[in-house]
Amino acid sequence: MLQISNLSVNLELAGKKITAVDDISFVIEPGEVVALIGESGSGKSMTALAIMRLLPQIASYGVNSQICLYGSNIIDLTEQQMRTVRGGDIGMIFQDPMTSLNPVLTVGTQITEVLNLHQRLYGRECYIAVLRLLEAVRIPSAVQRFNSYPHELSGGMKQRVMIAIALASKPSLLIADEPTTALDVTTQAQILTLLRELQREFNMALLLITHDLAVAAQMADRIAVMQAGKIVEQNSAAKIFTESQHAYTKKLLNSLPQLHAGLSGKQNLPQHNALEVKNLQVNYPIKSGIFRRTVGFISAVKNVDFSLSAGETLAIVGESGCGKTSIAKAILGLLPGVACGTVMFKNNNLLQLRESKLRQLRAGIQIVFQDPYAALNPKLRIFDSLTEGLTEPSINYIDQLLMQVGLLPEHKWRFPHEFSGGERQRLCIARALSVKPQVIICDEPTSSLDVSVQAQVLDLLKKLQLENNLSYIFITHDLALVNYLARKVAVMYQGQIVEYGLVTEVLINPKHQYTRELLSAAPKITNYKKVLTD
Amino acid sequence: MWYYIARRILYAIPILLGVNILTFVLFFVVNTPDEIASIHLGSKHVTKQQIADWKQAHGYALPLFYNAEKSSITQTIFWQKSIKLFLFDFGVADNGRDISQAITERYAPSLAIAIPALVFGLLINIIVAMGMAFFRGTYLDAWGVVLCVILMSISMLFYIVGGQFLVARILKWVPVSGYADGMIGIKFIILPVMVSVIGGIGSGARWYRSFFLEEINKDYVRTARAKGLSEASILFKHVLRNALIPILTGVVVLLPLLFMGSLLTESFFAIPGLGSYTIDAIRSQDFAIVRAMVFLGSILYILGLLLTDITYIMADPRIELN
Amino acid sequence: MIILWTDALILLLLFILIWMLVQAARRPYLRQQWQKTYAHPTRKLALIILLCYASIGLLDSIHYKQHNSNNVVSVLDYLLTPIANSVETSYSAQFAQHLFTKQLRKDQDGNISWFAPKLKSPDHVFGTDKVGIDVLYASIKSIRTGLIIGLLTTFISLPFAIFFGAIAGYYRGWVDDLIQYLYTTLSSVPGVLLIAAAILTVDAVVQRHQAIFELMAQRTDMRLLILCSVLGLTSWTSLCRILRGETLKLREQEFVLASKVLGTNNLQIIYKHIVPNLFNIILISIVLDFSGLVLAEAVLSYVGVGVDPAMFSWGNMINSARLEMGREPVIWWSLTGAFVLMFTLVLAANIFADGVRDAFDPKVV
Repeated sequence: MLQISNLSVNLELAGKKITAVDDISFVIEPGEVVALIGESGSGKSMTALAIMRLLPQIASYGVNSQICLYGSNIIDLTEQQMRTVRGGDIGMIFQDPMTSLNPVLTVGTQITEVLNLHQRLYGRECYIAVLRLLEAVRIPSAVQRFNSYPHELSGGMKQRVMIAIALASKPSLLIADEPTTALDVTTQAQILTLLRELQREFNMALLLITHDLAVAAQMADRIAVMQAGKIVEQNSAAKIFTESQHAYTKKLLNSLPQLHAGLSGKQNLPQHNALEVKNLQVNYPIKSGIFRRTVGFISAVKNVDFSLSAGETLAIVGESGCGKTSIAKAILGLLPGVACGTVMFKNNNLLQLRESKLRQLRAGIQIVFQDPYAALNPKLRIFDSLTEGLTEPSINYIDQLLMQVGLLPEHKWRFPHEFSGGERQRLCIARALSVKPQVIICDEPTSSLDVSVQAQVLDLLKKLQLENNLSYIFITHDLALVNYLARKVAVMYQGQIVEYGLVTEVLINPKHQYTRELLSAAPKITNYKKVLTD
Repeated sequence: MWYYIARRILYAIPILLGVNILTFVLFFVVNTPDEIASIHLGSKHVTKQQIADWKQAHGYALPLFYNAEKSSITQTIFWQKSIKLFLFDFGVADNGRDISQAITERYAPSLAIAIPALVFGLLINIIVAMGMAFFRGTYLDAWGVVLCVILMSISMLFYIVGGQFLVARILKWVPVSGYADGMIGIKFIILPVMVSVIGGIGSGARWYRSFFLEEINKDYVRTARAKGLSEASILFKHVLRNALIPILTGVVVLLPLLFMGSLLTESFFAIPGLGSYTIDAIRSQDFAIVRAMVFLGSILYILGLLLTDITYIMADPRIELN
Repeated sequence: MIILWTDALILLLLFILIWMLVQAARRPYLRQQWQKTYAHPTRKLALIILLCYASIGLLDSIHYKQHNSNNVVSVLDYLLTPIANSVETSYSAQFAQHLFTKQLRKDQDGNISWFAPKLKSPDHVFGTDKVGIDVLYASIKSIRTGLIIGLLTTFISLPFAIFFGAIAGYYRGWVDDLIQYLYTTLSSVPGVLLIAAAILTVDAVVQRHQAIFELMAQRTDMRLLILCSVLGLTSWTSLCRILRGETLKLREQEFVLASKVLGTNNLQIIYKHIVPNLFNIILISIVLDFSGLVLAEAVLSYVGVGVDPAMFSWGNMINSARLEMGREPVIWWSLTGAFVLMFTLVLAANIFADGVRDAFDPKVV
């Protein structure tokens, strides 16, 4: 149905020519689900835009490129003809539903627009058709939702609206560019299920663009792996996972924590408690009125208890808004007056110390953040960033630090923008290590990194833990990482810990309903994993 | 909503008080009334009696803050000159005429020029900006930007003087300056309005263009294209609606200040509005009028801020009052 | 050698510029950004024009006393001696041989007739103005005034904007409220009025203490300095607002939080992390405001609160020129001279400002 032959896309940036997509070919049969997998910069998104002819002004098609929809090359169509294809024959949904909908128009208006354009439906007929679409994507109270604005809906609901818009004129192909990356795990599971059902119901082909191998495993009939603009391997899903041929595919598979054969299994034996948290509460005040009096509180963290031994990793798992970041900030003393309870560290309750005494203990607990691009001051050289917590900066010490995290001594005179995401994260780890802490809080440290780099950073963290007897609080939403890294796990939901115990027990025998939901929602490669480990 | 407005008005009071104190310090503390008197009287050696007479005539013969003789604070300069402004009692100008009356007489001509200039300017700027945004990346856009930069590099003075010279002297289409009420007065306001609008196209169109382009690069426009909408459709139905938010909020804040009129335009075209009133006062160092105008301007500006907030709330559905 | 106040400040600005160049030399990324500002040929031209104007301004800032007289002149005057010294009695058109206005003359027979006296020198490219000064010379001398107003004002307002903006954004709470109150009050007074009010007041002070400023050059110079100070002290509010907004965003960035966790105290964080990341916006702001200030000087002179009428400035030239437009036949060259030089500077500055904004602002449109 859709045949792509020798597709190339070239970009012209500041006088230089960059090949974003390099001579790729693949086919999508009617009703089939094809996944296009790749890391950032692989050209997968550009391919999707190329099919829709939505390329930016600086991009152009290569000479022999052909995109044949039902036999005719759509690259040759005029813009006017293409507009009937877009939204009519091919629909597309994008990654971030928050910004992909027009904030000043109602949901109903935005769906109606498509029906006006492609189906020539107006008035009452159109209204009913929109309601039906909203129901098809399982949005409750469709009549009310018609007049809602996008910001009034949750992330999952917004994405459903996007799907409704894309489906409005019953296209034969739906392109989904990272549709669930910005969503929570449970929401992701719902949306993926929805896509699968709709795809079967409407007999629609689905081109799924993703970096998440597990998602591809769950959804796709066939998979194409892209690297640096080229398709390095394409095959049926089963064969990709069990008989992968190309080195890059093998590397990607190997990077998955579920399948990773790294340092798993090696852990320190439990020792004395490095950190003990009891009755931790975080209540953010709501200020209102002329004089901004506090009229109420938002309870972000309600009565949380846990303990952390030296050399051990505790994973805190939960979805966005569950309070896991608030716990981190509370422990670090970044929420004075807002957090209360007991955080025992070195025989002191950190929440009750004065700022001066707290400063002395600060070095003992450090943090590595999620976004390596925002975590280093772009105006400071690496040396200055790394020596910030030290009273006597020494070049030798910094050199040692850099080598410990797998970088070179000459890097200390460079600036952050000269490093990749993975390297920056290593620098952040080095900065945390510089003051010789006992506990490091890792707040989703690999979520923003490419799959192949994730594994390296995780291995580094493991290695450092063994060498320095560090304790980690590892905050994540990815259960696969929990299994790989942690000994204990705390599952959080709406500010409370709903399940707490050893990883080996919780993951195999979950007691709480929510834990079970999380476990079942996470996309798995289990079918293939069994074959692999045989 | 009304609660919000009331709260904002309440917040405006300390600001006005601050403005009042600021002007009081500027006018009466840095130079005491004695010194102001000597400057106005001009000659180098003035006698104490001359100073006292002058002060008496102009109401400055009172202590600054507290009147010990009469044990009151109302018989002080601070009360008479500054606090009374809150009651819109602007008092009397240094040349003897009543200020409040002058204001009521003169605001209409200011509005007669300022409102058409604003409306036409807004329309033309938006149209030009949208045009440039539609043709972005083409030569039309590039030359448009160049033209805008050139236009905004020319001083307003040249537009005025050039406009007067070209249109009134050489082409003789309209009179050079002057003013009259009613319909016959239209021929007097055509040139000032034209000059204001043309003088503002350069920076206005450029500024609005950046709003349009910022919106065009956003994700929801990509979604709209994926739906199959034409570029023109997208521009009018999606982008314009969003870009109007910053455009309107930028314009609404100016609305109340229209009363004050444009100092330059009114002065050059001899329009008897508040703008020329202010300029004359500055030139003749009439402190009373300048004070009154400062206070009036502040009130109007704060009113403008309030209107801006309200417009913003009404235009952007994302904003909710807490 | 005589150093006026504004001369000293110009020297200071020069040092700052040199310091910035040194910084750019040591950091390749910064150098790249600067190179982007003049990548386009139009922008190269704009930069060259600006450099020419800057050198003229610099030459005009080195003052000394002419021997045999009490006049304070500058190096630029020395270089322009031919046209500087050829002062006529009144108006003359460009390249004219005779005065523009006719005079009465009595010849030997007692007959009275109109005649136009011959000019001392026939080389006035732009003619002469009312008091006979060469218009080209006056326009060139006005460059220094325009440059000073454009640059000095911003530099005076910078410390206030940075200090208040960073402190308000970082500490929030009552400090933020107080600073917001401060700049809302200040900005609610219409600009021209506030400047006019301030200058009128300061004028009165100066008039009272006339004894201090003996040399006319010093008096006009002090008037210029006061104008710049008043402009600076009244215009810091808009930049302050922007910097406050930016600081609010910066303080939530991870590298600031990481710094806190490492134990850095608040003032060090502001100094080390917040302010350096504000430089981009500050630079863009300086360059964008420059042209607006140069244009504003002309308007202020017209209103009557500009520089001293004895000082060379485009505003003064325009002010005296507009009356000439009403004459028959029209005397237009004074206005044109001021216009051409002022327009060139403002246009070049605007083009260069665009270049700076494209290079330093992530959100380029």
